[in-house]
Amino acid sequence: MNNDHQPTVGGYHATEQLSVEDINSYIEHRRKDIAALSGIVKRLPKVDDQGHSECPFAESLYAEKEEETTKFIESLSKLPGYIALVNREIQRFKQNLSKLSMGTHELQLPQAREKYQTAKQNYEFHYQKYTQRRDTLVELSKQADEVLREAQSKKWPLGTPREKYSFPSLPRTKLANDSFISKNTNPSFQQLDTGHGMQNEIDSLMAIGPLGK
Amino acid sequence: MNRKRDIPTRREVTERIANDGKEMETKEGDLDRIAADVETVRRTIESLDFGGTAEGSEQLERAIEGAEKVTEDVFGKENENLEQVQAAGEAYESKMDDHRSLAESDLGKVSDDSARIETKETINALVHAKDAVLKDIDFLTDQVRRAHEAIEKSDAHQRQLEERVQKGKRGV
Repeated sequence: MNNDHQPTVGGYHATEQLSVEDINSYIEHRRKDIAALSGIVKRLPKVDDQGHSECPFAESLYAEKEEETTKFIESLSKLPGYIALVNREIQRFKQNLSKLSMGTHELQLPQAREKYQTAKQNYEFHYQKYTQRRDTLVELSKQADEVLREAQSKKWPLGTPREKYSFPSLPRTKLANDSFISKNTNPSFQQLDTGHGMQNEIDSLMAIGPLGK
Repeated sequence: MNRKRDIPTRREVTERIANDGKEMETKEGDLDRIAADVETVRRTIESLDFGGTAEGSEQLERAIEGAEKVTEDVFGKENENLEQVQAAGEAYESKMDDHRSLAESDLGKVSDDSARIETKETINALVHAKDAVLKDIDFLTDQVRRAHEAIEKSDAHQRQLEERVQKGKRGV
């Protein structure tokens, strides 16, 4: 069958086989996305109406948050489709289980009935696994909505933030979770810490003194 | 007349043939139920949706195919049992047919004897004996026919059942 015209969800063709490992992997990725955006949002510095902040990279961090939010929305847009795909599998499980029950009821040979019972029990186990994964996906969807609301509520006061500083050697998610980065071992961090531009910026800020409240 | 000890009574013959017929019908009934199970399992296989999920599908297919094999094997065994009952019925039918042949031979001898005898009493006795042998022949002919019909009917039913099981067999 040519899958080219089949609807795709999360990179999957509707006719493709979906495994629990696929769903687990998808859940893991979405969890990471949620944690990453949540981390970025939590680390956003306070800014006043004029865009002043104690943090010299405030605008950059807001710019990063905007960029990550856009990516997050894009990845999140696939989640309902993925849930629908898992739901379709659950439906298939239910229909097959119903047919097995019907068959078991019709059969007269105890040996055959026993085979059906065993098949049904094993199949129910898989059905439960898919149901649990679906529930996890629904829960993730709620968490994602919550994080997104929080991210969208924190806006740069002067419109679209410009990215003043770029952190080319650090992935954004790692930057957001800098507590996991060892400053002693990560060369990128050392580069950031020792960069002349950065040092100059810090010196200038120190010279200005704390922002007025 | 030493063979008389081997000859069953008319009641024994009637009962034996009736019992064989009932046993064949019982076995056919069992086979019919097993064939229905085979068909049920095949319908299940046809109706199940093995697409989509990787998990469980293969396992499910194997389990139901296992159920199909079980039903087919049981059908095979019960079919052999029916054949044994049919074979026993055929053997009995053949035995009764032999008895009938003997009776016919006896009838020939009685006729030959009656042609040579002239005393009225003896002739009367031979006429009675001839009547008795004729009745035996009629009875045995009737019983052999009954047994034969029962086996033929059972055979025909058995073929139908075998066809049912054979028809839906995958790869056939």
